[in-house]
Amino acid sequence: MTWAAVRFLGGLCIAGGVFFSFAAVVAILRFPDVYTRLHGSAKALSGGGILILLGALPFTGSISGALKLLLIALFFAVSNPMASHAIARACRRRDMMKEPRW
Amino acid sequence: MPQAGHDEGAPVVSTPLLALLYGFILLTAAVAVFLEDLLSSFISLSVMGVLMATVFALLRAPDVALTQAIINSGLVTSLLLVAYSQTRKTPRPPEICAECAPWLRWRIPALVCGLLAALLFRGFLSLAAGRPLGTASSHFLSATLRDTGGMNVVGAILLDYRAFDTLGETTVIFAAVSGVSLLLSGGRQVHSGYGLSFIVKRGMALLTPFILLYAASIILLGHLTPGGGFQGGSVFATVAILMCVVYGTGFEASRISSKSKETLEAGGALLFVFIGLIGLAWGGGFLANLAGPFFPGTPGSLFSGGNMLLLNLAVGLKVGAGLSSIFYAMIKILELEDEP
Amino acid sequence: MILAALWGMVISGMIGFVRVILGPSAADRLVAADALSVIFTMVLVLLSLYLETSFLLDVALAFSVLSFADMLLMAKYFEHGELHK
Repeated sequence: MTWAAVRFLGGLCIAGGVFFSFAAVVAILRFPDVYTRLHGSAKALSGGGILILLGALPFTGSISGALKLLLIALFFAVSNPMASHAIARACRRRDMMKEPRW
Repeated sequence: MPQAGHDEGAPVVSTPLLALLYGFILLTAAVAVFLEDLLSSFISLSVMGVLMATVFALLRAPDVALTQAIINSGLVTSLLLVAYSQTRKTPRPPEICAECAPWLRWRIPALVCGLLAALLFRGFLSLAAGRPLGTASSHFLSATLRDTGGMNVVGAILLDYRAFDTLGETTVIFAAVSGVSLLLSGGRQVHSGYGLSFIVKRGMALLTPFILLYAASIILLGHLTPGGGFQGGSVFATVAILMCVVYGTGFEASRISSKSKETLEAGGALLFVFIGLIGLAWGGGFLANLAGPFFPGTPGSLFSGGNMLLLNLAVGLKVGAGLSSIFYAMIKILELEDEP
Repeated sequence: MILAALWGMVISGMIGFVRVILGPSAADRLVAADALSVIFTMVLVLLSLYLETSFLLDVALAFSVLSFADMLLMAKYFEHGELHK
């Protein structure tokens, strides 16, 4: 694979990540209930973030930059679902009595 | 390896993007003022802090962006939330200034804020133009490697050219910690074991060693990369606050007692002054770097920059221990006497 | 091309902020703030590619760690009403 082909793939991954971020924002805006909004945004952003971070790998100029990107991607993949879980559980604990509206 | 904050030949900052982010910051701040619920205002303030870090990064100032990101997300949120939860909630007072003239109520403040926003934006545009400002900054950018041996220009200014100022800042933190501990000394420490759910507890047990290692690397590499003692110490304090939040106070209070936090904080301050006195005894002046017995080393390696490594360590210890002492003092339960 | 991706992410951020303004309860605003912090971490990474400096990746890593801490703090406060329970 030539270097230009790898950069093209990286560009595709970044474009996919931007599309997923836009989808997450549309989910936050249009869904009716807080649980559905959290579901849409957490899934789309966890995946879209990893896509952007992996797509940025061919564009960095040095090995240390690529290693930093892999470190950010690893931490992000572990921590973002955990944060969304904490928020969802807090919302559920707060209104045990209310029925979620579909 | 380019010096931190000085890139020639890099693309010029995109001005429409800067204008959009700036307008976004103003919108966030206005929303934080006008929302009814205080918790929602805190959420909007934390978004504003994120945006400010992005604008600083866009203007090619990585050290300021790092400081803004760390302080705003970790410490401002936790201290605001603790202060909000420990105070009594009074009902919102009626319409402020009800007997003022109607033209005074919002037009003049809006005019003043708009004028200030326009002036600040003009200032940002001059920073984004890509040429160096014709002030002392051009001297610092060219002379830092020769004078101090360290590569981070902001760290060199804080710990070599203006090291006495940093000693003053650590004294301010010491005064704040003393004041808070004194005011809240009559409360009792509460021990509870709730914390957050099991998933978060196990996840934090996996991630905490790496976050602590990262905080140590911010402190110890402060003379090479953006960072330094203050930023790394704040991450340490945030980890201590997270231990309390995720596992409950019954966990952390038994591991790191407040006595050892006080010892660490005082030890950091004493280390700073002791390094200054070494420079004085050598004949180079208080807090002397290369004029004292410290060697510059090869630029870019760990043991370079004279005494900047040790000073970063001292400041990091002091700030980390001090800020977590403030948090642990503020969460005590105070027995308030109700008014008769 | 990186500039186009940057504009896309910032515009997504602005649209997501509408939920912080509107959201009838604090929970909606919290969800939107979580999404916004992730979007702006990605904006920091793209900025480091655009300005061709690797120091902003340090800033992105620190911000990723600390926005995670921020979300845990707010979730704890939202659930119990106090931070030390």
